[in-house]
Amino acid sequence: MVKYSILLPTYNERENLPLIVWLLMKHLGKSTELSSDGISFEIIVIDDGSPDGTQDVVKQLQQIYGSEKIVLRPREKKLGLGTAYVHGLKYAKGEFIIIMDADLSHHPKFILDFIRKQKEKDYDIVTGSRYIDHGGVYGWDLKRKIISRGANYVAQVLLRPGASDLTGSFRLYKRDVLQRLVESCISKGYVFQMEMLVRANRANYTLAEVPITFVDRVYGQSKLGGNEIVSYVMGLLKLFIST
Amino acid sequence: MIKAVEWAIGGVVAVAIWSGMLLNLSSLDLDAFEKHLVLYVPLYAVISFGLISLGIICYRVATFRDCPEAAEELQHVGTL
Repeated sequence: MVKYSILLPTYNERENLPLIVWLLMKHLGKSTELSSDGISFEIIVIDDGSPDGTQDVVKQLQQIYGSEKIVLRPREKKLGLGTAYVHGLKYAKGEFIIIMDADLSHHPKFILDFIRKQKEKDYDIVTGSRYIDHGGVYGWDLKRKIISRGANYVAQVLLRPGASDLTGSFRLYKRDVLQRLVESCISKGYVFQMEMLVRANRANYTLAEVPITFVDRVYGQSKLGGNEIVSYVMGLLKLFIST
Repeated sequence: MIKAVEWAIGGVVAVAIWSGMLLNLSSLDLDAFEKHLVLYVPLYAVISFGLISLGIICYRVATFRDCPEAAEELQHVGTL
């Protein structure tokens, strides 16, 4: 009986995938107060036709860990996150769905914190926040921090979403909650993650936050340009007038 | 209620109160300074909001935690 399904959308992650899987096995497999022989989980890799052979790596990992544990459900090309979740949900067996980045910016060890938090009051959603308590970021310069905090502040003032970190993508959802939210969301990118939480807030789903650390390994390559900021503002305004 | 609608309603209410005060300025028992305040309250409100917001953002940037220990931990993952 799989309790937790971890959805891993991937694109060109042949190097990070074995590490992420190893970390998931290590942290979720160990004996804790939650369960004496580890958490019952499966990993669903949704690869968007990566040209670097990510899917071959997945198949090798399946040889090691079994194809019940590591489920491969690829797509033909890069199709976006929302649809990746919808796709993954079709095959997920768990009661709870965990979404995270596959590039090691999210450390699997926090999943145990998510699970513990969820059990406290049977929350519908538990989301990781880089802004609270001992959460944080590594690899961001001052400019990036200012943009992050500034953008978050504007979103807070306009939308009052009930969560401190809106653009994060390390979350745990009850399965039917994720299903319903994903069907009602239409944005892309950062704004999609924001829209999920805003709509959850409007629908009165219960939400809790857990501090997480985010090690940014991509920032150096993808500068946060004017284009991204413009599309963020447009997305924010769309949410402002529709939620 | 949709946030844009909430803001619109809030805006209408605020403007209504303010214009009410403006139109009856002479009949209100206020001294010159208070009259000046009433006249300029929207401007002061916007400026205050701007300054407070800047303050909040600066504070949050300053207290934004760096986590080098997390990067350290990641460094050692592949090397075991």
